Amino acid sequence: MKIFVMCQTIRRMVFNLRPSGLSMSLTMAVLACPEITLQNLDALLAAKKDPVAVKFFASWCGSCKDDLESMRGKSSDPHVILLSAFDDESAAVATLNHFGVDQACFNGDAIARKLGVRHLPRSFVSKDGHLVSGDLK
Amino acid sequence: MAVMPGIKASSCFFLLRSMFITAVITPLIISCGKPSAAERTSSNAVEHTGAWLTTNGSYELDLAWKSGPQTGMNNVARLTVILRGDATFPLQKITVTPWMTVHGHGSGNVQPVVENDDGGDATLDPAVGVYRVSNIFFVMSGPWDLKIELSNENENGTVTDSVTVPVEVPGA
Amino acid sequence: MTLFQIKCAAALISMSAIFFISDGNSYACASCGSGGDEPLVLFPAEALKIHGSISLTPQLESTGPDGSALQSAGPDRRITSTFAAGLAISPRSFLTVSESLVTNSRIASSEPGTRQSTVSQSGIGDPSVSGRYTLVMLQLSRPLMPQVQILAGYRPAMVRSIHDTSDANLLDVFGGGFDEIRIGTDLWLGMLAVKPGLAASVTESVATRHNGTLLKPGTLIRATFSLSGSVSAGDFGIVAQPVKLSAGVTADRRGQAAADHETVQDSEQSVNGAFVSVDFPAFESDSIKLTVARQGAFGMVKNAVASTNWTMAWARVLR
Repeated sequence: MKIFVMCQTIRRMVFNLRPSGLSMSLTMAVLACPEITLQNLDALLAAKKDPVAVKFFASWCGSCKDDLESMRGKSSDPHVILLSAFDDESAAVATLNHFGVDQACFNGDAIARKLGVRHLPRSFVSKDGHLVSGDLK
Repeated sequence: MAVMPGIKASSCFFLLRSMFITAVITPLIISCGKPSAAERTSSNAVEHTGAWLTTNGSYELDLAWKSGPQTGMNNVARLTVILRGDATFPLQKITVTPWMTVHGHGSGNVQPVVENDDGGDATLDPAVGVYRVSNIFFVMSGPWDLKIELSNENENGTVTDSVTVPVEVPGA
Repeated sequence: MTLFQIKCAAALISMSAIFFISDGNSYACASCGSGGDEPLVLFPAEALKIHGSISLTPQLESTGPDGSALQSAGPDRRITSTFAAGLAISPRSFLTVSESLVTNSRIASSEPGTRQSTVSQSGIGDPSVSGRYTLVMLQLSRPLMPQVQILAGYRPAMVRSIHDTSDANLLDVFGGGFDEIRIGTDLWLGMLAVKPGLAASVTESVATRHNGTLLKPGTLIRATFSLSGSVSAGDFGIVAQPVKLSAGVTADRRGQAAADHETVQDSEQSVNGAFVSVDFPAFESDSIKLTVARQGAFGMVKNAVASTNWTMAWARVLR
């Protein structure tokens, strides 16, 4: 019984923690991360001028935190496309909203597999209509 | 009859008769009752006492190490079996099984070999059997048990009795 | 199981249940737990992975019930090569199978003035199959929520053990002699910079008749606590991926054994261990892990084997 009460107390403490400086009344900027095929991505990249950064992330990816923090509070960058990979859509959306990221987001599972993405975070840059490994300079 | 001066002939005869009775009757009296296995039959019987008594009291055992005990296979012991109760020789089977209780293992498939020991120490006492136990494999040092099982045939069939002898195998 | 062991298991299960959150279908870090007890761990992007490792144990030290060192007729050195494959069953679960090749060696006694010779034998070890399922996933938005996994495994006794050896140096002993079933849980705070992990498992051995005696080893409880973190290695290899460092301690406690349904006094086993490992990616799909582990690192070793293990492991993602 004592162990149960102690664990319930710990659970309440965990759920009540808030990242410092983040208000719970934050506007939900991202509502969904719809699926996108490689062909659609190519079309999207063609519509935007080079260079465009395609960044893969996931809600479980601790190493993605720095990238997401760097996008906090900034207005949507047309040269950045966020793709969630190997992740649940609702979890990916919740993560972006948690970090206050206002950026277009797509479900990039199929694209990640085709590009051989094994580790996250992973970035590609469009060049002459193709994706190459690397970050925006 | 020439006798010692001062002693009557009738007294001498009485003395001689008493001595004869004592010399003949006394051993018969002493030999009455059930003799122990070590004392029966042979005038060459030697008193044997075993350090270990089997569970049902059929045998007393003595174990003397000729080689070892030490880690490895080169352990040889002399096993002396003394009959007690209604047990008789020859025994049908003697098995010796090493067992390291605290570690829960024995010596695998390596079985000690038990054979009659006829050399040197053979006793003429038919109530005592001497055996050579070789190929005793102590896998490691530490506290071991030797489970010794003896089987014999009687009118009721095969009867088995056993005893566990602790052995401390020293380290290097 | 003793009452104490039942209470420990119940506490661990209740801890896992308290943190349980059902979130429908979701890709979780379906294996990046503390991983202390698994030779092969699958990450979410990995559907099929293979693993190979070679482990050197240069010295095996047996101990008795009072912790004293025992001289053994068995091998001085053991080399274990392990091959494993992991398959993702679902976004939250995966299975692994593993098999090992064991080489036992012993320095043969030699006459003074002559060179020492070494005798050795190699053989296949007992195979094993295990699985993990993620109950609670990691989330960036909840950094203090641990990942909770449950694990289960089975290792059948299929090869020669100490109970049926015929070798004077025990060089033909490659297995344990008893079927083993294992269940456990793994908690991992994977969102922190220094990631603590706690894994606990219970292993039950199946009673088996050896040389006419029905033997059953006691229940084994193993606890592993680890800390891990990543350090940036710059352009390490072909891809710039962080290097993962892990260190931890283990505690093994086994209850009393039973022989022919009778408890064997003073047969409990206990050994504490410590380990350090470095895990770094070599190529996009490959990784290499170096581990040093010491069984008997601290505290008394009772009725167990103390040893130091040096392991190099390689893993490749196939799909």
